[in-house]
Parts: sequence; structure tokens; C-alpha cells
Amino acid sequence: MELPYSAEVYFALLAEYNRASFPAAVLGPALGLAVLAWIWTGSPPGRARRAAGGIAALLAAAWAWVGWAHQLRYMAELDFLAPSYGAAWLAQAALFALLAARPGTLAFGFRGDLRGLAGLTVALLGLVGYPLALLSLGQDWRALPLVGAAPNPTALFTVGLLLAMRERPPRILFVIPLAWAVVAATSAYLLRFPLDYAVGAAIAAATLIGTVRPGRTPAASDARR
Amino acid sequence: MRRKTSGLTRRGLLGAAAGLALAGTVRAAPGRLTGPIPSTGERIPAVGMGTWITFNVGRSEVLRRERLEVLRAFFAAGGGMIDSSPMYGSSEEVVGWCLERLDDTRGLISATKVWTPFGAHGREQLADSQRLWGLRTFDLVQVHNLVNWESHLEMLAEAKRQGRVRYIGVTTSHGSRHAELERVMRQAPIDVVQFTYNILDREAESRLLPLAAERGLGVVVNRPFRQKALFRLFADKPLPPWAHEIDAGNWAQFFLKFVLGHPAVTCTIPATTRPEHMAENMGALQGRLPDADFRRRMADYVAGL
Repeated sequence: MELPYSAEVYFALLAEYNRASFPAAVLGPALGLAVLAWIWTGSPPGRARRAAGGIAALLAAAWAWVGWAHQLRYMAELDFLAPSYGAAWLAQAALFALLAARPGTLAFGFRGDLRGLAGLTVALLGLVGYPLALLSLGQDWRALPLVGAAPNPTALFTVGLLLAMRERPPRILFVIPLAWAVVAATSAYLLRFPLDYAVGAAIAAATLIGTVRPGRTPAASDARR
Repeated sequence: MRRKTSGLTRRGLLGAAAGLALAGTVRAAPGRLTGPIPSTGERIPAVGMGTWITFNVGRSEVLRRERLEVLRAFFAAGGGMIDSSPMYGSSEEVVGWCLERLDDTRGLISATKVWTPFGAHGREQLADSQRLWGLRTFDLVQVHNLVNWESHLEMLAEAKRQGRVRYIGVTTSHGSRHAELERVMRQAPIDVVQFTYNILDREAESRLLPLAAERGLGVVVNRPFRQKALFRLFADKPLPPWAHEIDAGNWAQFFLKFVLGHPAVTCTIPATTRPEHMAENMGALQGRLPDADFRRRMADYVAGL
């Protein structure tokens, strides 16, 4: 199995895509930073619920933009699978849009525990860690994949936010990001681009932590009898 | 479309030089190696060019200009077949972009494919390919990976009758679906068949290559370097000192001459993104080819590395 394009061509496409979509390409990271700052500085649960609709709407916009602009308009030129990926990203956007329209379903905010910290770490990886890692590998800054514009950082940022939430979000929100983790890891293998293994692993780990409910220990169950 | 043809033919030389075999090689006189398409007897340059991955560079003008130089080197060295497919992303468009900018493309043997599960879509896809390449007539159109081959071959046969296509065929790659390919080779009215064959992937030797010879089909060999894997495996190993006996000055020519030495092979289509590699590949068009004993020696040497 091979991808029909090379890593060199992918980054050339990203450079052209970032140039053509400026300033939208930098709007994503700016909004992402604002969201993380809001979550980190703390917010009372009531306010978090009220703001959740806005954050879900931003995530819907990010997933829709990546699905439409990145996958369907650009990547479809290179990869016959891109239309399928685009459809999946648009489906995830629709899910977030649906939840944005139903206040109370999501409660973005910082949990203040290890899970919350892990979530913020993964979100930061998407926002700054992944682009900085590429810069350190010698990638041209004009070709950096950015949150809200390219799939890998957007998927990382999204699962990070979901993991950090005060209350566990619906599991269905993790399904398409997890599928993208498989795509990212497969691309890492086929393009011989090891950094993207880390992307796949981070999304998969966040999904695992975010969806598996801790079971009751036998001792705790006995104590309740 | 005009074509350069060589008066020297590979198969003819093989036959004529049979008595001159030296140390297991078959001697060939100087000149460009060609291979036949048996249905017409036309001979085409034995080294062509594939475009999978390498020409799928999208909108990048920088990368397009680099590929333009690859094509320039290809034609300058007497290259013929350029093979592409609608499956290869922007490759067809990039080939067309390059052809438009080259002064001399007289040697071109244009080869593309039909790749869609929907029979009704095949005709439209062929029209798209003509537009992307900037050609009214294709030399060869193949059904890609045997996808819906019954329906597409009917459409292609009609296009051939109308003069829009000169030859038709089917393809597989990676050694897949050989049983079905054999069935098509036996029953369908095709001119050319394309499959994978290289010094490590030799499954085609047992049935496909003999069947192609028996049925009078031209053979286009894809993945002669197994993508880049043969270089990754052997580039740091020494070329055998006896490689000069078949005029192979580097590993690329060694691998290509192994493929071209099989008497049933018409041409092979290595892919590259670099003009200097293209020049190496095209060097295989010159000089001597190995005979069966020499090819066995080549395969044994590589297996022992």
C-alpha cells in the first residue's frame, strides 16, 4: 500500500494552502489560544456551560473548514481518498454544530485533575507542539499545519479539549478523531514521516482516557452492600 | 502523433546476436533498445516512464518545473512511453502541463488508464484524460487494476475503432489478481498487458510472461525498482564486477536490464523525480541485454546480498 503523493508534495501543498487561505489560516491558532486561556484561567461551572455552545460552534467551524477547504478543495487533487476524509470531517463538524445548538450537553472547562491536565497537554500539542516540532525538523514555517486549518493539529486540539472537560462528553465525539488517528499513523508509515506516529498515538491515548469509564473495585462494591 | 523509431530492434538483435553470446550475455549492436507491440509489430523504446507519486505534485509551480526537467531529460534520451492514470491525483494534469512546455515531444507514447467502478463513467474519464494531457489520441489506454474491465474494454474497443485510441490493455500491480489477469489475457481482445515484475518480484515469470508471448500481447512492466525498495536494499552494496558485460554502469541499469532481458517484455516504466536519475534509467536503452543464464546469475547475486 502506498499513498499517491510524497511528504515533500504534501508540504508544498500546505504552503500554497496557507498562503491562499490567509488570514483564515492564522485565525484558528489565535482562537485556539483564546479558548485554552479561558479554560485555564478557570470559570465557574455555570459560565462554562454557557460558553460551551460557543466553543462547540468554533470546533464545528474548524472541522468544517478542514473538511471543505483542506480535504475537498486541496487534498482531493492529490489523493483519491480525500473526498472520503472530507465527508468524515464534515460529519464531525455537523456533530459539534448539533451540540452547539443544544445548550447543556457540553461543559468545557478545566477539570483540575490529571485527566484535565492530560487534555490540556494534548490540546497544546496540537496548538503549538506539533508545528514547533516540524519547525525543529527543518520544515518551512509557511508550510506548517495549523489548528483550524490542517487535520492533525485540529484533531489533537479537539480531543485535548474533550478530555479536559468538566463532564465527560458523548463518546461519539471521539469516533472520527480516533479514525483520523489511524489515518495519521498510516500516513506516518507510508510517507516515512515518524512524527505523525506521535499524532496518532496522542489522539488514541486521549480517546482511550476520555471514553473508558473507571470501573468499581470489588472492595468498593462490597462496602456499599 | 509522430514517433521516433529505431531501425535497430531489440528482439531482432537478440536473434541475430544469439550466436555471439559471450560469457552468458547477449550482444547487441549500438542503438536504442526497443520492444514490440505484437498486434501491429510496432516497436517502442524499451524504457518508458511511470508517473505514480512522482508527477502528483498538485499546484506547486516549483515542483512542476522540476518535473518538466525530468521529462526534458526523458525525451532527450529517446524515451517513449509515459504512463499515468486518473488514480494518480494531479499526475495527468502535470504531464499535460509539462508536454505543453516542451519543444520536442515527438517520441511520446501516451499511455493512461480508465479507473472507475462505473461503466458509464469510463467514457467521461477518457475524455477528461484527453483534456488533461492535451491530446486527441492516446497510444494506449488500459483498464486500471482490472476495475470493471468487461465494461471498460467494450468502451475502449469502440474508441479504438474510432481512432481515438491505438492500443488497449489491462493492468495490475504489486503482484495482485494474477489469476483474473490470466483470464482476461486469454479471452479479451487486448493489445497490451501491464503488471509488476522486477529482480525480486518474479512471480510473473511462471505464467504471465509466457502467456503474453503465447497470446501475442505487448508487456509493460511496472515497479521495476519495487518503488524505491531495491535501492534501499542494495544501493550501498557493490555492483558486481561483471555488470559491465551487459553495459550496466549502475544499479538502476542493472535492475532495468534484468527486466528488459526477458524476451516477452516490451518496455518498463520506472518513475523518478530527478533528471540525473532519469539519465541513469535511460542509459538502460543502450548496449547489451542479459540472456536467460545471465539473468539467473543477476538474480542469484542479488539474492545473496
